[in-house]
Amino acid sequence: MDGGAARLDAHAHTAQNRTMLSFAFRRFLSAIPTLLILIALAFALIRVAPGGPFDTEKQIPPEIEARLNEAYHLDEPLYQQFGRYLTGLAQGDFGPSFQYKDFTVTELIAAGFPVSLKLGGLAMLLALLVGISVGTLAALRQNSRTDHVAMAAAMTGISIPNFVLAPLLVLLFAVTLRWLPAGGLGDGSLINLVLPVISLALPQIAYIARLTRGSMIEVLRSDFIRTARAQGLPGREIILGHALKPAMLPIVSYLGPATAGIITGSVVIEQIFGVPGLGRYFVQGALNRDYTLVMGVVVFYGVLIIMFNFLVDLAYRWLDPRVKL
Amino acid sequence: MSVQMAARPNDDPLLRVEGLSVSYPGGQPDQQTIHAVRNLSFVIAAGETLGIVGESGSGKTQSALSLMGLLPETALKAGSAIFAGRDLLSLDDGKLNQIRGSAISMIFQDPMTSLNPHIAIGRQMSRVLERHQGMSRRTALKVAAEMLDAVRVPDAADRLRQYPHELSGGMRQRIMIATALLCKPQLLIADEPTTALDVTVQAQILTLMHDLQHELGTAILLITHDMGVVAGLCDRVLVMRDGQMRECGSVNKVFYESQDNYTRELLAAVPRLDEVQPRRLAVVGDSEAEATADIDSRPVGDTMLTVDKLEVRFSAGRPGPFRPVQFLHAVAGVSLELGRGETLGIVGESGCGKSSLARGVLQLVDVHAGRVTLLGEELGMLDKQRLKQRRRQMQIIFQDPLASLDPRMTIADIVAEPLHTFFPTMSRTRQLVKVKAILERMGLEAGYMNRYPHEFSGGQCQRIGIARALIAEPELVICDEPVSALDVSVQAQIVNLLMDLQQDMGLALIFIAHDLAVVRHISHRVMVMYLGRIAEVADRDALYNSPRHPYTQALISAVPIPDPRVERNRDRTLLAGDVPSPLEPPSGCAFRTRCPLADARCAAETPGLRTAGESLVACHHA
Amino acid sequence: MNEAVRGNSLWADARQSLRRNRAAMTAMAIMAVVCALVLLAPLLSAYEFDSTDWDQISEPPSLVTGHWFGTDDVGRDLFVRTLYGGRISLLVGLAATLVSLVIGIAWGATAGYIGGRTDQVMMRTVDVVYAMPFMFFVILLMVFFGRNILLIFVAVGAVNWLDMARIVRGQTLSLKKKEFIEAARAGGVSNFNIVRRHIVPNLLGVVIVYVTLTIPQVILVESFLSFLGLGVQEPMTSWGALVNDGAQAMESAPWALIFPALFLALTLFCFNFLGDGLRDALDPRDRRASG
Ligand code: SF4
Repeated sequence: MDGGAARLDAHAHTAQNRTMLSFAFRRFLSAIPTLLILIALAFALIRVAPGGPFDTEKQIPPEIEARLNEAYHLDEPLYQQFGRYLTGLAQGDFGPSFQYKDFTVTELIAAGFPVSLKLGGLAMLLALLVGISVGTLAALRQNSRTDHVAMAAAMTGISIPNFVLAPLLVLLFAVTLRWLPAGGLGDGSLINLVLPVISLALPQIAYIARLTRGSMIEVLRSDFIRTARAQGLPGREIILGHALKPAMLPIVSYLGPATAGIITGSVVIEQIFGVPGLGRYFVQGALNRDYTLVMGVVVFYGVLIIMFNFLVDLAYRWLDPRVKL
Repeated sequence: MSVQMAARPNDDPLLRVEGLSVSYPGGQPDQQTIHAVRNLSFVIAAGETLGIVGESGSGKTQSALSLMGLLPETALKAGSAIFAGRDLLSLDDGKLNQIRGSAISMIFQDPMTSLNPHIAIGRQMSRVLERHQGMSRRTALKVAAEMLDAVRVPDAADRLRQYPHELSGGMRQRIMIATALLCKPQLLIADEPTTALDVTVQAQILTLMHDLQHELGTAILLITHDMGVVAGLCDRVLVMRDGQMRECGSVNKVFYESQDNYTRELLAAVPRLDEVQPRRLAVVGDSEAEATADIDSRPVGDTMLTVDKLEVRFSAGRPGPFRPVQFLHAVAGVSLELGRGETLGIVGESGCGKSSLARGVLQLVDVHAGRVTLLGEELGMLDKQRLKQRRRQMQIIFQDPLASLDPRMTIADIVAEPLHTFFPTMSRTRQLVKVKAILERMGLEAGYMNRYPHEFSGGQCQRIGIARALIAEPELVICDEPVSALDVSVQAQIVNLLMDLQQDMGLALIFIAHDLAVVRHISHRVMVMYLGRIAEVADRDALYNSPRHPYTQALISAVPIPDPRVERNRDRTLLAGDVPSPLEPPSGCAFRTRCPLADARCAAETPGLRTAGESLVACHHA
Repeated sequence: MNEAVRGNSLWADARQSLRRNRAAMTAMAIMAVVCALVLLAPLLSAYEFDSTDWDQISEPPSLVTGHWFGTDDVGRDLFVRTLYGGRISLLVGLAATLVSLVIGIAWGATAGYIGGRTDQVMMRTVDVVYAMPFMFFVILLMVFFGRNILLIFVAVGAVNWLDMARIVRGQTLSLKKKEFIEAARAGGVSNFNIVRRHIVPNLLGVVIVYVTLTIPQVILVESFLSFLGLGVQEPMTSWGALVNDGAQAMESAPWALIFPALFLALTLFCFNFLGDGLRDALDPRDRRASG
């Protein structure tokens, strides 16, 4: 490399920052059509559904139905309704709820989401902490008894759905041992969340542990680890200084699907434990044909997942110096 | 540190290895124990260079790894390796860690994978110093920068902040060496340190190692398959085969007065760049040395292939709304002619476009511009059906013998595939007869027909690949690095086979390789490429004896010759730097960034091909 | 022509190393037993899956009455119901996997083999669909169109094809770069024949592994829906629905939870173990490392 090339290198860092920004921008732009498709899909799905929100057992007089339809703009052409919905969304307005007449969907989401966030966030944290440690440990002791036990446990964790596990945990810890409350939020203290969080986190723990083990073993086999050993670095330093970062890359990419998994899981977990979160609203809303509520939750969670994937992508690019932007 | 200071009686060797054995017990009852190294003994004196040479599977790398305690856990070691009063083989990791990276350090073959891609260079280097010399990170980084200077890395301080992927292969290997030398080790183990590098870069690294050894007095254990590298760098040589030592002695003794059959055969099997009279390469294990055949007397027939200003380009990176498509000009206007029965050798370093040229000629990649005419027909103008028919006349042999065979097909199916395509009406029995015949011609038993590729060695796979290429009786065969993945002894067999086949079938061959010696051996004419263009074309002897282009000259002088006396007394033109990225080739003459003769005109004007002496040369000053 | 030596194909090698994998072999044996039980369900018990035994409501398991797994709160035999539920769960698993297999392979192989713009557009589509909170859509579909087992197949299959498409595309891309594909092209083999003779057989290993791992995922999704009360309709049942019923009565009749849960978990467990074993056996990477 001659002088010219070296000068080019000197600019590499600022250039890299710039490409990072432009990547973020491009990636952000590409998320927009995804968002629109999501909203359109949710909108369309609900409009083609048979039966309106006011189909209840007792017959509503046609005039009243018409009035209701008008009040909720259900008499407008579809594209107008869609436009109205989009404009509302842009202002953070998900429209009124059809069932909970006194609330807007935004209010319902605002009420349910913090609970779900607490539950999901704790579950994710727990999953990452336990999953990564167990996986790393298993990888370091590959083919030892620790490894076999950990991996068998992980396999069990993947194979037992959390809606099977949750009742069993309740049966054991709440009903039989009476250590923990069986459901509800009680006085709001964290102890009420222990069982739901564990049930929600377990499958993810299992998955992350397996993923970590696999990627750690792969990394430990690589040539640069052999170099580090040839340099006389002690095991701890090799793991922390050389292996951990590359081994974590697959975990970072898994964060997106993991979030989606936890959100989905929270639907049943909230149901089982009677936690008043967003997942529960969704199920109730779906059963009650509460169009706007259901759509609101779907769109809200969809946006959340898309945003999260965006952040994960950025983090990945930032962590892996090799990725060309 | 304490290890380095330990007093050592002067007449004791630095390292004494005795009865070293490495074996891998089979994990399953039906698997046998593999003996990778058997009863190996040698010594290394302070400051000397010992070369261990051998082909793949000889156990040379295994012995080195065992000294460093780097073998997999399943390996069983026996014997002793006394270094500074301690037995390396019986030390636990903690004790070994005081020696590794400090008193003994090691560099590896592939500098790309051997450096951590996720950590900045400076951090990778400073860790070693912090560990072994208790330096603060600041001091460590300063020392690291000084060491990079010492291995002639330009702008050392800037490099420390970079990541390995931002650097070229040669630069990475320099950094590996610098890191290994940080603690001023007494012994440096180098495992094939230049095998992954281009030949001009290899010359730089070898020179560097030689110089550093003189400056620092470090002993070197050099592990290599390349007899030329040994001849240039080593004081003593140890030849290994199948895990055992065949011979050990001073370089001169082993090269000129070898007592061992295998060593002699191995030396005879290596093609030499400086050989005036080409010959059949000797084949290891074949005691009746074959008669020297002169390949020059072959008549060269009329032109059968014409390539006119061929250009091949690839789009690099994904185009986006904010990014224009960037093109990599792999082949930037190459013209050539080839006659019946002629062999054209094409040489060049990585990125010179030789493989893309081959694929462009065969219409396997989109040709951006230019014409390819085979037997009077312009291939670019043919429709799909006609082109398919023409493919019968032009075939290709690949570099990686195993990868070029479909792993799920039997040998018979693989070799018969061209018959299927070109003679769809041929009966299965008839096909099998032909397959059997050609396999036998390739020196393979017909009984192998129902086996699968993974059951064969590299050399055998390459024979199968050749059989597939030849079964439909083509007239032009392009060999893309056909022997570079093979061991020396196997390489000799394949080269001989190709030469025989050419004679028998009157084939026109294009032989692409980065090994100039092999190309000299097999070719009538040779073309040198650099960054997608022709640098020089000439008849073989003209090119090798009086190269005109500065690049050709440097290339030839960079190739190590397996003859210690010759190798040590050569004048070397060392090129600076690495091949630039083909994505951003220099303006004017592509070679100017490394050319010793470059001037202002070279930067402004792209030189065209013109006659100089017996060569066609693209250089303003040749 | 004299008889040539038979070679060991990669398949034979894989079979051999799978046979050595005790976990995978055990998993296979258990799966065989479960399948047999499920298939032979009507022959194994005197009870019908939907007939009510008013004298035996919420009875614990007993050999005397022939209700080996006990009865539920309307007196139906849980042994038979568990096996019938297994029929549904396995059927959904297989059928939906088949759907995702067909779409995924077609989509992924096309994108991978054609490459370029087509590839970009096709994979971008996959990305977009991937970002959808699909479980919520499936729930909506169930709610609006009623519980239709066919809908479950389609919904689940239509989502799982995404992974399959990605994997197949990645594999196709890397195969396309292999020299033996280039050799075939240089040998004038047509595109169709390259795909048929070279690409598909080499994809098969990955696909088999993936199918084995998709089936339990699908079973899981179905039971998830059933658990929410959105799956199959009474009196038909599935493992998920049984677990749901059992969970509601778990304090008084734990057997109603435990047996279906056991069957469900065991089946998922076996599929996952087998998938892992197959991956090890068919993974070409380790094969070359040992050579
Ligand atoms: S044209 Fe100039 S730079 Fe190029 S090879 Fe000749 S002297 Fe060197």
